[in-house]
Amino acid sequence: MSTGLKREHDARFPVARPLAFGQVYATLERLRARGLVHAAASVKVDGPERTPYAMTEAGRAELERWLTEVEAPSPFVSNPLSVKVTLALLTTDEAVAEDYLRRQREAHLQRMREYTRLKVERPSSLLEVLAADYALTHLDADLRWIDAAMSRVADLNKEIHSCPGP
Amino acid sequence: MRTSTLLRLATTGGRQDGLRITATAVGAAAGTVALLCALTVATIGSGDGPYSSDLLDQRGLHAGVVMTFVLLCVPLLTFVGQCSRIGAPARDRRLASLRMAGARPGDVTLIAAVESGIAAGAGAIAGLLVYLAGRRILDDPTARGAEVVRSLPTDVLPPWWALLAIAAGLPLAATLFSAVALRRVAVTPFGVLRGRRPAPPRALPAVLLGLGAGGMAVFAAIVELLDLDHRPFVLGAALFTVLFAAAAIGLILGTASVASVLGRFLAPRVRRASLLIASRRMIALPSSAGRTGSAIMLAVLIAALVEGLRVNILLSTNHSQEFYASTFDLIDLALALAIVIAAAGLLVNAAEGIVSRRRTYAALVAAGMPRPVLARAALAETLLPLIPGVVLAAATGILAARGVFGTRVQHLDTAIVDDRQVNVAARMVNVPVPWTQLGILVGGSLAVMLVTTAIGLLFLRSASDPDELRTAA
Amino acid sequence: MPRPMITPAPHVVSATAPEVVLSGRELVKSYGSSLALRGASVELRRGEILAVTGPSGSGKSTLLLCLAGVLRLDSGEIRFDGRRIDDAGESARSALRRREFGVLFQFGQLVAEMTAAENVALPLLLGGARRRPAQAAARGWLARLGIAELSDELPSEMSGGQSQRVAVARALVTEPAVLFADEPTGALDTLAGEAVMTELTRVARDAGTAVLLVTHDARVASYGDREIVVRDGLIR
Repeated sequence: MSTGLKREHDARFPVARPLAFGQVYATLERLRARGLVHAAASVKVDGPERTPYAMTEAGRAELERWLTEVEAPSPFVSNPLSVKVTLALLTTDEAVAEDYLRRQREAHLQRMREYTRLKVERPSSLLEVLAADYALTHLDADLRWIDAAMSRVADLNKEIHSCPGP
Repeated sequence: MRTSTLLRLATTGGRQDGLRITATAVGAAAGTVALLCALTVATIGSGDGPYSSDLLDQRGLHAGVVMTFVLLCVPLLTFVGQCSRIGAPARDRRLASLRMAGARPGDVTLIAAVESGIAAGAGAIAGLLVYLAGRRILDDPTARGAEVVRSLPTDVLPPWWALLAIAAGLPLAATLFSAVALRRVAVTPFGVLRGRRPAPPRALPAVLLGLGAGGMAVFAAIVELLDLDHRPFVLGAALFTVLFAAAAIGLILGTASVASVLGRFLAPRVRRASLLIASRRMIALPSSAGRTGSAIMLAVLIAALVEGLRVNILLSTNHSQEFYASTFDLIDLALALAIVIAAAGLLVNAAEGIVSRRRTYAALVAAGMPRPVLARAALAETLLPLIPGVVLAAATGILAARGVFGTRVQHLDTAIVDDRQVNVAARMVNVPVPWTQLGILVGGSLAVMLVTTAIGLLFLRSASDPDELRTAA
Repeated sequence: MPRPMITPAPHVVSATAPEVVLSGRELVKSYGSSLALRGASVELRRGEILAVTGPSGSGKSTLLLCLAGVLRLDSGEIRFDGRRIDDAGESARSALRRREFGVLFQFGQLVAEMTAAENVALPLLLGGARRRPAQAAARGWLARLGIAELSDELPSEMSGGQSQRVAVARALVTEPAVLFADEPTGALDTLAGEAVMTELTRVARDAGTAVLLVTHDARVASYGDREIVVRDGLIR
């Protein structure tokens, strides 16, 4: 299951950092302990035993909650952010996605305000200014990517809706 | 560059380009008509006429008439040259891609000059047609006794090769004038060059003017000194020409110096925003005033000279008073026309100054600068440097007239005896200074300059439109 | 989740509701056949710095120009200090822009032939001030922006960032209630732009001037207290 999940994740979310094998197994175990997934019957298909996992009702609810929850802005490449934005744009309702993205942008901008204020108030501390610059550049990159993604999906939707039905 | 490309680039364009081409064509048509009229008068032979006007009837006066027409062409051609600068920024943008592809700066001037030449060519042909049609329409033979008299030499047709020469030569001259008018603009980009302050005013023009005007004022003394009365006439004429040219060149070059000096004087002292902007611009770009004022000042100089001559002649001869008076009236008319045409060049200058600064104007208006303030600044910037020049030109002209033709003439008193005018006595009288005429000349010139500049300001509203601010919404 | 490299202090917004100094309601503006603003509404509070962002062509510059009174609305209402200003005449709106508003663009707003001090003094001279006090006030503002030594230089003799700071001084010299800034750092590189934004926000906050900052750059927007996003002529 772990290899299958890892392969799926890496293929569908090339933006995100590839998952480590041990990470998948450990995360699955934690989810199972919290009652969000359960192991279905083992299946033996051409080789080693595979244990497919499935979401529980509680798991489904948690997923929906997670999808619309703002991700804490970070200057480092954030797997959760990239995955969440992709999923939000591709799977949820347009209004829901837009609402989430608006709140995500505000969170990013709020964090950027803090870094900018720091630069303005302590311009002589080179170390802090450099660190703030790095953070600002990467947070800005996140926002640009989100904007572009939104525009692409909007264009695609317009295309789809203007095409005649099947 | 291939000729076809050249032609194609020279003839494409938008609304401003249409204005430029029209103005050029109209100027060229007028010049062609003037030259053809001169040619016609010059062609009047002993078998032609008679004409109701003495000017045309007497062979001796033809030279003067021809020269007047030819001289009128000078301001006309200058105006045509100035026209090539209308809409120059838009044309430069249009041709910018050509420059990017490696064309030399001379290529752009070539294209602009060719465009002027083509427009002038169309104008010349139109002028020729107007002339030929006019000959038919204005032909008014009336019987007077045994002769047929005409008011205009419509019975004279110059040889066809001469007509063709003018119709072809004028566009060539127009092309040349355009290239010259553009050359300075191409070499000196509008606006202050990065990091370089404008040069301080030079003294040479003042020296030239002083020498020329002074020389003409004391011409009689010089004649005595050099005993020119007993030398060939040509020598005296040449000396006069040199002095006149020195004064004229001094006036023309001096305008830039006047602008610079005036700007430097005003800038630290004025409080009104419009004058502050104008004076700073005079310091930064003094040569633009000289470019347009030169034709006007030349015309005023000649006009003042003529006024002095007129007073002189009217006092000293009695017979054919009306003839001379009416001749001088015609000359006055021609000079007034020349001044108006020269003033049209001011229109181009004022409009160009506004259009090339339109992004700044738009931003200033958006920031709360009232448009009237900007209008007053543009007016002051164009006119102030020219006012001293016009006054000086008039003063020089009248000084020259009095210096060359003398301040005392022999006046013949007349009385009516037996129904005839008879000369009774001769005495020397002082020639008065024609203050009234000079006042009208200077005042009228300034008024015309004011009007044409004000017309040029009409571009201000469209130049400061907020649309100029939009780079991207 | 990895820890941030440094921990910036959290940004606290004032708890009391500040009054609205400028508001626009249901603003509609078209250019020819296309609608730039479709009923946008916005409020600017006294002393705050409001960032207006959005993709290019969204109408944010149009919004700024309408609020400043440069463009006339097709419909809608604009109130400054409670008074309606969208129905005023051209000279009244021009006077408003001179005294109560300051306007700052990307480039091209300084008179190239006048020195920095003269450019900054211009609004005061237009308001009828005498030459000497106007020049003194201008030099004071240039000093406040850290460019006192450039007072007698021409704009063409300075760098882009320096001439933009002269423009900031000119915009603030009449101590306006609102400063409209349209992409003020658009033509500048990162560090020059940062210098301009730092000085602009510092001086504006000191003077209590509200700032309407139009930008497409999130890093510039982060100098503001609040952000509104314009998309397709509406505030989203």
